[in-house]
Amino acid sequence: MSNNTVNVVILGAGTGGTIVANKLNKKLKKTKKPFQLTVIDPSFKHVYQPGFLFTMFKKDKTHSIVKDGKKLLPKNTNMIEEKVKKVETKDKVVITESGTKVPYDYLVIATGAKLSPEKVDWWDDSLYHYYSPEAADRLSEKIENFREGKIIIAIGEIPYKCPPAPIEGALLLDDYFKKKGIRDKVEIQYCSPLDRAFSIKTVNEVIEPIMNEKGIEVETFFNVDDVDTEEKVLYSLEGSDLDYDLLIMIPPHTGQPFLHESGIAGKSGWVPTDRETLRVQDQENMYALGDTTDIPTSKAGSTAHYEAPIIAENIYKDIIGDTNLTKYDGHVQCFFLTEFGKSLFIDFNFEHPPKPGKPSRFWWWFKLFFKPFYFRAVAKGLV
Amino acid sequence: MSYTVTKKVDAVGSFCPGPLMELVRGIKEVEVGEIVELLSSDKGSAAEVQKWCEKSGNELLEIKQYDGDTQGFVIKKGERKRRRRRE
Repeated sequence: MSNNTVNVVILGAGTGGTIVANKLNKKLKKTKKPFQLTVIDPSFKHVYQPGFLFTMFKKDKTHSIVKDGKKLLPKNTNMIEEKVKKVETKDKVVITESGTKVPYDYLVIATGAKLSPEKVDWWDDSLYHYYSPEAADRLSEKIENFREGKIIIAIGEIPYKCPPAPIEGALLLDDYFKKKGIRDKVEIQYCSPLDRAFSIKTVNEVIEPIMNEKGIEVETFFNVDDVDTEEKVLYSLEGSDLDYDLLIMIPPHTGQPFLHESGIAGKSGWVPTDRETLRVQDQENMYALGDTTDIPTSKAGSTAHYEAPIIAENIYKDIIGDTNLTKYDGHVQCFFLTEFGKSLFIDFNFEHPPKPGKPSRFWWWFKLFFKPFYFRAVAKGLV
Repeated sequence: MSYTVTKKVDAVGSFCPGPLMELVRGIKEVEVGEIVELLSSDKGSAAEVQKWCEKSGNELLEIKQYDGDTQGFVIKKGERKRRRRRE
């Protein structure tokens, strides 16, 4: 540790990186040892991504789901607004695109998932989705002006962020067009790469009957193979072809390319991470959380929320010489919107699959309340 | 049964839907008639892989039992039928 100062560098100022910074800052102050927290992020735009399901229907404004990430971090944080070029793991140095070298004693990788449509040869920029603020805004115009025809929601590739979001999109489209009085003129189809609509069986047992009731057609075992945007035909690897008027395609995701180039991750960019200690495999003093890991659980803000305290605790323990590491149990909680006004609540961990009840108004209101609560308390590490 | 495996996809340790998705990726990378072997230790894979092969027109030639929970699913890539094809 240089000059006895403990240097903790966090890559990424999204949900995971921000909560780790806030939690760790409090803990490190307790040690009374000198420390420096550095957060490196290309933009410090902190996006509340569950909000896309609202902005795509113009039920919320983009500026209310995108905040200045610097204001959510501890004031004593060294904030570097740059992309990372490489991590020299042997020398424990992060190199930014401008060439700045940032040494670390502990490195936390919270760089999230990157939308990587270029990964597949069939992607066309005319396709719609709602996995970025700009894309959700663009889709909102299309949905507002959609009068009749067939809408398909399909998954580009697994894994993708927030597994419920594509089905939530289909269910909310149903409600939106019902309220507009034109549901009978709009066909909605959902294409799943699996043999069921939703990956977790206990949730699927609740959600697929709801989709059936609402007249949303579920096409299973549909792994996208090609899209003809001129003829408006979507092809699957399994041999199906579907006509559409509006195709909403969840883009393929990868980890950040510099992680592969630094020898930390494989080609896909997902960081091999111990699912309990959250330590990066074969690396010293390196942790990863949230969407960027290869842990077999949901890529979701909630996952990062529950992983962040584990990393803060384990770095703190390491500094004070406590070898009894805290373990992550796979805890994830999320809302699953079924219409404007109703939601399921899902709670699970590695050992216990979710037992969703029925959609309720209570969880809908809780979901609405959660956004201000997220910016005021969750991101700041208060809960 | 005599065949040559063109591509081996190791999804041991991965959980549902991981092995199936790895198989889908593997099948994309080989030609019609070539053979992919998926290695999986997930108990749900047997039913899922069989169902997927039926739907997708790929042929499940054999299920091998290796040490522990690991199974090998040997699949021959089938011809896909398309109504229209993009040039």
